[in-house]
Amino acid sequence: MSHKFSRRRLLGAGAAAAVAGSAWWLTDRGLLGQGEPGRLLSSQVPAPRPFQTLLPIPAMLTPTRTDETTDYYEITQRPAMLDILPGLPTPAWTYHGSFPGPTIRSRSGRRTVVRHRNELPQPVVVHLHGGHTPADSDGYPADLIMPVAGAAASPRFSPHGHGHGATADGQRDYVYPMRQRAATLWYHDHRHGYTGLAVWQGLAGFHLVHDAEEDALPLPRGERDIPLMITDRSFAADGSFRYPLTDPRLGVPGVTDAYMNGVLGDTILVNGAPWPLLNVDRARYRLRLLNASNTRRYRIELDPQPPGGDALIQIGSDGGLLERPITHDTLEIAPAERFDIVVDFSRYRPGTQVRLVNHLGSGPTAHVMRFDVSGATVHDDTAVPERLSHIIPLDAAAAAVTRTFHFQLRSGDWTINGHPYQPGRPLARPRLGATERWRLISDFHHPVHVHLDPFQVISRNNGAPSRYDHGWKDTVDLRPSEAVEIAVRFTDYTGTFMLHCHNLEHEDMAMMADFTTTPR
Amino acid sequence: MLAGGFLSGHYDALAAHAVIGGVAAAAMLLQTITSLVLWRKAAIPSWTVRVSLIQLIITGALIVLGQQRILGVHVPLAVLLTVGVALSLLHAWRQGRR
Repeated sequence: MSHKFSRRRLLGAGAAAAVAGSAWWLTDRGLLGQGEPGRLLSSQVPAPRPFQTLLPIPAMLTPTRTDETTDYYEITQRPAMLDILPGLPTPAWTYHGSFPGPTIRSRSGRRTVVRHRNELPQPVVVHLHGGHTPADSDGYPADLIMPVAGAAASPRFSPHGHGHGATADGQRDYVYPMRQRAATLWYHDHRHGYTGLAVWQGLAGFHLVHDAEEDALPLPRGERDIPLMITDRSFAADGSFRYPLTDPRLGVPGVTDAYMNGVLGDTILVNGAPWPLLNVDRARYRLRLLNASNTRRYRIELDPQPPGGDALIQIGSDGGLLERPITHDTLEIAPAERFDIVVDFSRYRPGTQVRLVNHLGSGPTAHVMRFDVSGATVHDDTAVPERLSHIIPLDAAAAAVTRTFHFQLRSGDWTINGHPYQPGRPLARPRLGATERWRLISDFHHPVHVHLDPFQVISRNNGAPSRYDHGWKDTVDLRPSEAVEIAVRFTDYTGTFMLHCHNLEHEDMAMMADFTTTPR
Repeated sequence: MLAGGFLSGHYDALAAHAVIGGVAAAAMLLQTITSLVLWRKAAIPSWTVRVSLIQLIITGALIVLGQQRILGVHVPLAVLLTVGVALSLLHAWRQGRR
């Protein structure tokens, strides 16, 4: 009898232990809430003090020449020392000596040609993110610009072209027809297998497109139209950017296994400065938010909120103006997404210190920057009109083709439809001018970016799109185990373009695919 | 539970889920060997051996199906296994009352 009784005690104790252990595990690891991508990489130097540096505004690049149809620019990609940490310079890879690179401003319909010269020790590729660009200037990941002679004291590298890329020696002219509406674009490195490293090292900049429609609106402009490139970085003891390469000699792409789901820095940089400070007038400001982080997602909010809330008036997304403004208290921004917002600082009392906080961060990464509201009385004749633009919805119901793309981890690779990236093997051949319905299905978080043309989000998990999905998008945040439908129509240019995850570690570890557009 | 963690985006939960799967397979193997030994000693009926063997095979299949991401089979099979293990446990519990 006692023997039987002890069996029941054993079973009971086992069950109790399992339940207690599970409960502990769930709470200890925070598994009850939503997971966020990436693993934190700690800096080996003390963090700079927040809100000490004034927000830098990236310099505007002036054309080297212009003619009737075209503006010509030149950018030299070169190593430079950046002044981020107090008293400890950071060696970086830069566009033209700065991080972010210089801002290019284009007019819609006016051709822009950018000549990139590569004085870095590594091959590079430039992609204009959000650009409606022909294939040969789109920055196909195997279309390398090799280092110029002399600068190539380079370690070994593997070009990974497999014969699919067009390699240029020393420099390349990227031709952007700019047949697209006003929008906040950005340019960054797109080399196959090494994009995460190159962007982490500093290769990113703004490229703004303006048009008559937007110019006619009474939105804030000039010094009150500010691009904000939000990134996270970590620093090594010598002040350099720390990054967990699997092979420091760059023979093999990717990061070490521990960082497979992405690299998170512990220092938030806005326009290259740690937790900067911007002195603002009591007036409306247009803030062009870009999350240029490799992996980190942000849930941003102003703290304190102005009386009545609705501090963030969204006027645009990746592909330019929304039809009507949308007010938010909070914005969730995945890597590569842009949110064009207007903030009216006159809603704050003079002297208020308004912090931009990140509810997805903890400790130092819970802060982004600070706005100090001045006491001066200023004139502000700007407004946010009730109607901003006209957006014709793509008719997904009439879509001739429905395609499904699975974004998944499979046997140690990040894959699309089960395949790690293989240049020259298109997963789709969409016809120009035809509206298609694409279903994007995730395992973990995957910010999915489609090249060539923007798209419209039509559903999330068979329900309505989220409040952050409005307007023309080129990057959509797939949350874990989610199914998002988009309507997309490619136009103008035939050739091979990319579809990929913009978590740059996922992208480098092969979550990318070609698609080839075909004539009507 | 860990599968749920994975489904809500916890990357590490997937690796832990795989470890637990391995532990479960080892436990099933141990259970099968134990039941075989006890059956040979005529201490237990033969159906317990068959059940153990089926549970072991299902656990092994779950590992393969999970790694191949054939989740349409993996998930219902895992639910069946859970029900089976619960029934075995119930039987053991009832045996304990006598």
